[in-house]
Parts: sequence; structure tokens; C-alpha cells
Amino acid sequence: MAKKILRINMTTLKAAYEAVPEKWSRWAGRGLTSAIVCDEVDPMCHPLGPNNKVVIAPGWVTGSPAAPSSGRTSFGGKSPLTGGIKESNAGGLSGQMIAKLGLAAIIVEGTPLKGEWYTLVVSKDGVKFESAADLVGKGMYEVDELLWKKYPKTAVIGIGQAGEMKLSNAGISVNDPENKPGRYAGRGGMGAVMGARGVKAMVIVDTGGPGVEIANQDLFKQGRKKLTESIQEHGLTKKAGGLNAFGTAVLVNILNEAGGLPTRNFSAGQFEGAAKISGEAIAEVCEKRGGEGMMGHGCHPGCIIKCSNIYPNESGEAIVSCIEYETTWAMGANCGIDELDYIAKMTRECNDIGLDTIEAGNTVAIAMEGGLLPFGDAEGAFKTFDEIRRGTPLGRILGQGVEATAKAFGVSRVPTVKGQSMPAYEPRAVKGIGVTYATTPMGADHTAGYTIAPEIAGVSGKLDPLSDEGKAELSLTFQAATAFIDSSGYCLFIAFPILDIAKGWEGMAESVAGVTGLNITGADVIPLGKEILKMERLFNEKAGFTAEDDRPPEFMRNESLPPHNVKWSITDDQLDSVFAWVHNGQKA
Amino acid sequence: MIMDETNMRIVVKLFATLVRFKDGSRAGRPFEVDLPDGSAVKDLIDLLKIPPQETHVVFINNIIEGPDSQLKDGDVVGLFPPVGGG
Ligand code: SF4
Repeated sequence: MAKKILRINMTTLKAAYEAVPEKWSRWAGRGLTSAIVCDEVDPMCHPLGPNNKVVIAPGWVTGSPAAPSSGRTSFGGKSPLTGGIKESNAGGLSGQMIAKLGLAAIIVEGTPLKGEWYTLVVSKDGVKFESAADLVGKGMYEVDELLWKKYPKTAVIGIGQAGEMKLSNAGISVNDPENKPGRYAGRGGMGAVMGARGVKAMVIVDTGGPGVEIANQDLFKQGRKKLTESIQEHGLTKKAGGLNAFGTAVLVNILNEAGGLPTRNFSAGQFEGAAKISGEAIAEVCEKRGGEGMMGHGCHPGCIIKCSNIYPNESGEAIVSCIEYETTWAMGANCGIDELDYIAKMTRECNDIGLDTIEAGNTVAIAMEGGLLPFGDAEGAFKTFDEIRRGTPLGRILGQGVEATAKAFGVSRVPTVKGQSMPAYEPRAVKGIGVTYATTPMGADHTAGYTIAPEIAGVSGKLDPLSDEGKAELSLTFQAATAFIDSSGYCLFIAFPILDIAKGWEGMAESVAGVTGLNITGADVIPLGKEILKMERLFNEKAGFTAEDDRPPEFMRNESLPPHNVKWSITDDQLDSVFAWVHNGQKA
Repeated sequence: MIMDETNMRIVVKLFATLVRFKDGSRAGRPFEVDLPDGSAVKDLIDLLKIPPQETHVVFINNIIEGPDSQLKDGDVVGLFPPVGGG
């Protein structure tokens, strides 16, 4: 049975299935959300107005039997944080269940009467519009629990209070296998776009769904085998390897060693408390406290890398799942905080209120720089989250993210590109990632083109992080490969094994070709990725973006970053060369 | 090892899965190692009995170097297995 599009109209409270039109039929995941947003969302619309949409799409292989680590879901729309196109990608239960319902995408559009909130129950029989009056004002822990009482073992997509208030830092939560709200399409304020549609939550019931059709079983199985082997062989992704044993926070120490761990609002590249907030330290706490604490947790069934964790309190009860690298950095080093228990509690606040942890931690750091509280004040930082939950005037400022908070507190060291704050890699010390931050259509985003692999991790070769040379081409290659992987449904972390092990790269492409019947080989990965990037860049141009929006913040050119005492040195011409091909080398 | 003029003292930090090659060590906790003058990173790795294929990224004084890089007295060396994430 061919896949369908489910269109949900919140103005009329009606839903309808549509055939996937030819022009979208090649795409899934990010490629599909971006294609739909480009075709259906006016680039000049107000992100919170009636003309924006939330587009949700699982990847090409998501929901297919035992494709490893492939349960990802893309959430697309126009971002209230950046004003440009957004694809935010989450793990959790939603991707596989949407795919098993035979859906290529769900488009949520329109706006209900003011003050009405809905829970959309999506099943094989269509959509039920239930009143969400009982859920409004509640955090995501409670929402997930209440919805599982009625709809056990379902995927729950939802927004916390931040999304209800339509704050620009509101994310969309997806529940994990324990029904906890830890898996976020966090970046870019997509939770506010969902809130603007009057949707508090979506429940995905996959029972009786047709499942995912496999066009060519042999090719799929061959691709899956190669990919699985490469994941199991690679030192980083194998069982008990770096990611499995220590989680993504295994990066804290290496970035600190490289002088590229942004510290105290991007004023230094090393944090004296780094080891205390590292993946190794998280693993030690889990081991010592035991109970529900664990490393090697999977964010969805079928992940064989399992980089997630459950961080316990002193009695072994779960505080939160999970403390990611980005989170422990944003709430930790970047705020001068070295206490893991506080980082865990703040992460839980974010997951409950529905905030992106990167933007949230950066915002606290800006407030610290602006004098609201001192750097290192863990208790004070923790308390700011309740301001957001309660929607106090201060909370509403903080919930708007870094740029709004910097304005409110008169701070000029503002680490953003296109309105979105930078993740945990200092561009002055790791130049390639700075090119990605500056030029990706998404606003400062590390996942958009993870040049950290060769610049720091020694994956896919080794390049000097401090050098400018070749970084424009490097970033483009990574951005294109990422756009493809984000469309596949595979977790981006398969990039490490497939970049180092050739059969993994082939296997990824073959498994996509096997499921979809599309004629895709390893050689098509970069060209297809570039097609997606081109759509996104053109959307942003129509939304008013120019070359000036592809620049890192001014202070990075003026201020030297210790310990290497380096400034941002890549020229604007080099930055402009990254996407010059979109207009065949001519200026847009 | 007896310290004499032909020796140098290196500060070493081990991370992630490499911690197990030094008794009582914790990630990032520095310890000192004496090596003959002219030693390279790979000699240090040998001395610590770390299988070379397990050491993936080497830092000397916060700069990424390779196994053949020469060491000098007072260098701070950080050794990492494959690490990554996002
Ligand atoms: S590797 Fe980590 S983030 Fe990726 S799918 Fe598995 S648990 Fe989720």
C-alpha cells in the first residue's frame, strides 16, 4: 500500500488522507518536511500566525524491520527563533509508529478558536480531536503519564508550558520507551509553532497499521547487514564503545583538551570543572548510585548504539533521561557550573516545561553575564526555570532564548547565528564547525554539518581544528551528508562508522534503496543532500535572508579565545563560497 | 625509573576507556611519567601498555598530534580512545 499524507486542519477540525504527490514522492524525513514547508508555507509568514504549519515525517527506513538505530522523526516548519526554515530531529517512539501507520508525513495546519486546546489521537482509523483542557498548564512528565493511562504504549508528542506560551525556545517532546519526555525536537522553537496550532499533544496508536513496505527485500537486507556490521565494528559505536559506555558527554573532556569547550558564555575554551561534568563522571554516578541509573540506554526500540542514559539521584531514583553532551555543557561549563546533580535537575526542568536545553543553558549564561545571577550559581540557575514554567515576565524573557535575553540584559557577547545560539563547540578553536554554524539554513547548529568528526574525533581522517584551510568545502560535504542521513530516519550517530568504514556508507544507501525502491547508491548521498539544502536555502532567501546572515557573531572576530588565543579568521568570501553553487556561483 | 639528564618528565591524562590502563586512575586526572630523552608519543603508549589501536586521538599541550610526535620535558599529553557524539 502506498504511503499517504495525513493532513490535519485545526481550523475546521477535520483530517484527510492524501496520496503523496509525485513532487514529494522521493523524499522522507528532513527532505520531505523541507519540501512540504517550501511548497506550502509562505516564507514571509509570521511563524506563530495562521499560515505556518507543523510537518512531521519519519525517515525512509524508519519502522522497517530491524534497520539499526533508525527511529528518528523530523519536525519541520518556519522557526520562530530564526525566522527561517527548520527541521528539528528527535528520537523516541514517534517515528516508528507514524511509519507503521503507513504515513509519509503528517501536516498540521490552521488554528482553532482562541483558547481551545486539543489532543490529536492518530490511529489507523484517522484522527480524533479530543479536548486537551485537562492537560493544559501541565508539564510533559504529567502529560505523558496521563495520556498513557488512556492510550498505553503509544507514542506521545507534546508541548510543555513553554509551547503553550509560544515561547521561541519551546521544543516538541517525544516520549521514550519508559514514557518519559526526554527526546526533543528541541531546536528552533517548533513547540511554539505546535502551540500556535492549538495542539497540546498527539498520540500515535500504531495498532493495526499496515506497516512499512519493503520494495526490494534482498537489497534492504544486504544494506542493513553492512550498516549493522559497521556500527558493531567501529570503536565509538560498538557495544561498550565510547558512546555506549559514556554517552555523548564523552566529548566533554576531548573538547576541553582541545581548548574548544565554550566556557562562561563563550569567554574561554577550557573549563576547570570539565572532568566533573563529563560522560565518565556521569557513568561513575550511575555505577555508584545504581537503582534506576544506567548508561547504554536506547531512546527507541531497535537502537543498537544506545548512547542515552538515565541519571539517578542519591537513592537511585531516576532524575532524568538523558544528560547529553550538549546539555551537560550548556547547563555546566557554559554557566560555570560543575555539579552534575544540578545539571540533571535543570535538564529535567527543560524536559518538563518543554525547552531546548542548548538554548536554555546559553540563556542562563547570558543572564549570568548580564548580572541577573553570578556564573557558577547552580541553585540560582535552577530557579530560573520555574520563572519560565510560571510565565512570569522574567520567565517569558528567558523563554525567548539568547537574543531576547541579551537585549533585556544589555549583553553584547551573543553567540548566535540567525537568531539561534551555538552548541558546545567553540568556532574560534574548531573552525570547520564555525563554518557550519554560519552557513547552515538552520541557524547555529552542530548537527547540521558535524565537522567535529575529522577536526577533533579523528573520524574520516584528521584535520587541524585551528586551521582555516579547506573548511568551507569540508562543511558543505558534511552538511550534504547530514541532510541525507536526516532524511533516512537513521540516527546521525551512524555517521561515525559509515565515514570510517566504506561498507557502512554503501549499506546505508542500499537499505534506503531497498525500502523505497529508489535507485540510490552511496554515490547519490551527497547530491541528494545538496538538493535538500538548496530547497532550504531558497526558502530562507525568500524569508529575507542574505549573505550577512551567514556570519558568526562580531565578538568572535574581536576577542581572543584562551587557551589558544585565537580569533575567528575565516573570511566572508570563504563563507559565501559554501553555498555559491545554489546560484551557480552568481550572487543571490 | 631513575631521573637523570637523559630523562624527561611527562604529565599524562587518560580518558574514557583508557583509564583502565592506570591503576586507581580517573578520567583526566594527571600523573607523571619519566621517559628517556628523544621519546615519542608511541613510546609513552608502549610504556603504559596501551594497545596502539586503542589510542585514537593524542594531544600534546592541547594540540592534536600523532603517535610519532616527539615529546619534550614538561609536555602534557592527553590520550583518547575513539570518542564522539553530538
Ligand atoms: S544512538 Fe542515541 S540518539 Fe541515536 S538513536 Fe540511539 S539512543 Fe537515540
